[in-house]
Amino acid sequence: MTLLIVGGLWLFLVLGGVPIGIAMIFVSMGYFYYMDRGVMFATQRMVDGLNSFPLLAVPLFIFAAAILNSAGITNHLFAFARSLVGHVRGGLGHVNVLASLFFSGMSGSALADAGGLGKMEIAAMREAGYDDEFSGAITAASSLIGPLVPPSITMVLYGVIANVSIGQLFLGGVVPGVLCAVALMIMVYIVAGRRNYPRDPRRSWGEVNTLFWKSLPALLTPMVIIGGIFSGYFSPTEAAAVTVIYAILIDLVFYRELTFRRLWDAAYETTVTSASIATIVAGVSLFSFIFAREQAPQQIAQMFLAIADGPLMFLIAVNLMIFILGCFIEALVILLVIVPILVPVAMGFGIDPVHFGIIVVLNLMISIMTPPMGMALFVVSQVGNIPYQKLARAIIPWLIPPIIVLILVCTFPILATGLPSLMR
Amino acid sequence: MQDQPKYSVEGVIATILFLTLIVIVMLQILGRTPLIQGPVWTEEAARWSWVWMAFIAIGEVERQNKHLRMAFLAEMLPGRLRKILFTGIDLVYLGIMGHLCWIGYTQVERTWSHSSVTLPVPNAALYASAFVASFFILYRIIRRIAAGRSGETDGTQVL
Repeated sequence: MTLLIVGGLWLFLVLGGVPIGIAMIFVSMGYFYYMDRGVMFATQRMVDGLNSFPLLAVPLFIFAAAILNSAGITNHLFAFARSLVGHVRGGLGHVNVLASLFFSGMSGSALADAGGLGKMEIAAMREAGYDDEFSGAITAASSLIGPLVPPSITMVLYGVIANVSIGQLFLGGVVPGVLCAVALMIMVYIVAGRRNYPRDPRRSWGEVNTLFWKSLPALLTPMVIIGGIFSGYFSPTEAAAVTVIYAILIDLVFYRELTFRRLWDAAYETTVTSASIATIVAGVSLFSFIFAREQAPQQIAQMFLAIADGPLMFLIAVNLMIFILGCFIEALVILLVIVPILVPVAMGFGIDPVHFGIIVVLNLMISIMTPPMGMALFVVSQVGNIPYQKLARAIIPWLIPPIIVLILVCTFPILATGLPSLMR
Repeated sequence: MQDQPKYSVEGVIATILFLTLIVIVMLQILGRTPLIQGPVWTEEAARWSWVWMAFIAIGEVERQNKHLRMAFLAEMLPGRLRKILFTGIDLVYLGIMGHLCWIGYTQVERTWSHSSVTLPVPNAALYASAFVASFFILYRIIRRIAAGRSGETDGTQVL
């Protein structure tokens, strides 16, 4: 009962306009006052919640993506993707997906993809005669690849809260990420055929080759990260710092678009974004005290045991829950508040925590494009100047490809655990 | 929020701490090469820099009113009622932050005699981050209430 009151009050405050992390602090402090317990340790819990070395990877990966975006590397990636698949039926739709796949190797954020690449992609598609609904929907849908292919901020956070190897998670996301890209491209091919969308003329190998060499330093970023982690030389946090230095170096040597002012602004913006996440992590640290005291994991486990008699049923129930919640609640909140309670239950069902992590991340990424609260839709609507209602309707069929991949990953764990097990 | 200065004191301090953090982590990596003898304090110093950076930057988040929020129900309220609601939220926030500031101070006192594992300072230096940051946050909330800007937000989008 106490848990329901705590959860209900928090949701009421959030919907009433209180920032998500601050609402956690309000409710937790209210609980501490009411129980007359724990108040004097509130700041200690918040500090201890943040005092984690793996968590440092979050601001570092955000910064690396901000540098690469500031340096205009997205233009080179888009041009290279266009030279490769622009001539296929539905050309720019495929380019959109492929550019997102390339960009995801540098950025761990779907919204950085939707905001950074999205503007350029939608403008190019509009110019080529694609309708706004198609352009916006494929831009939002392809952005979900970002957090699946390493690096991934979502996976870093999952790794921290679930105490799972972040390196294993990074590798586990590669196959589902590529599968999502393929599934979206099949969908583009079908839709483009029906609507007779234009295609680019085929580029010469010379042109493709030139654009490839221009993009290569940026395309090598995931190799630096994965190679460093699995050679045992870097921890994921160190790999994130190396990515920052690598991003600065490749710009200094190859692209030469990054100025000191841009670098400073990217660092400044990163601290603000990171502090916004840190507030939620600090709030979750207080919440977790309440969850532990009220035995939330045990209660949730009992609830799931009553409805699920095996791992597959449990995964179906969890996926439905995350999907429905994701329509109304921000993905970050589901990840930090609800997922930590589910991880021990999943392990109780014998589900590999890496497998569970990939499923959760994929489902959360689907949730950022489900209306009414689809963050990727908000971003694409803003950068592409497309009315939100129009986009919210247009996105519905584009949910099918990632949902099919989600079902495949749930049914065949090897899709998520195969690559990590090779590296163990 | 166009008429606000681009940078703030707390934002600049947090950014310097963030850049310091990168240098420390790089030092940790280079410390494992034959090039230099790696110091033992790098991991703890990096964590502490992050905690300080995160707490201090919350002041800047408050200044820009950029906390992650989902105020779609509140957005449906008429303008004046919404303003009253958000001002009320800020007043409660101010009260709780004031109390957290005091708790932060007592935490510093409690941990003054506990030494850090690798750094030559007491653990209080870590917990002081919340105490110091609370002044920036309180200042920003008070300024926001005084300027009648409660509830104006762009919202940070992360994942």
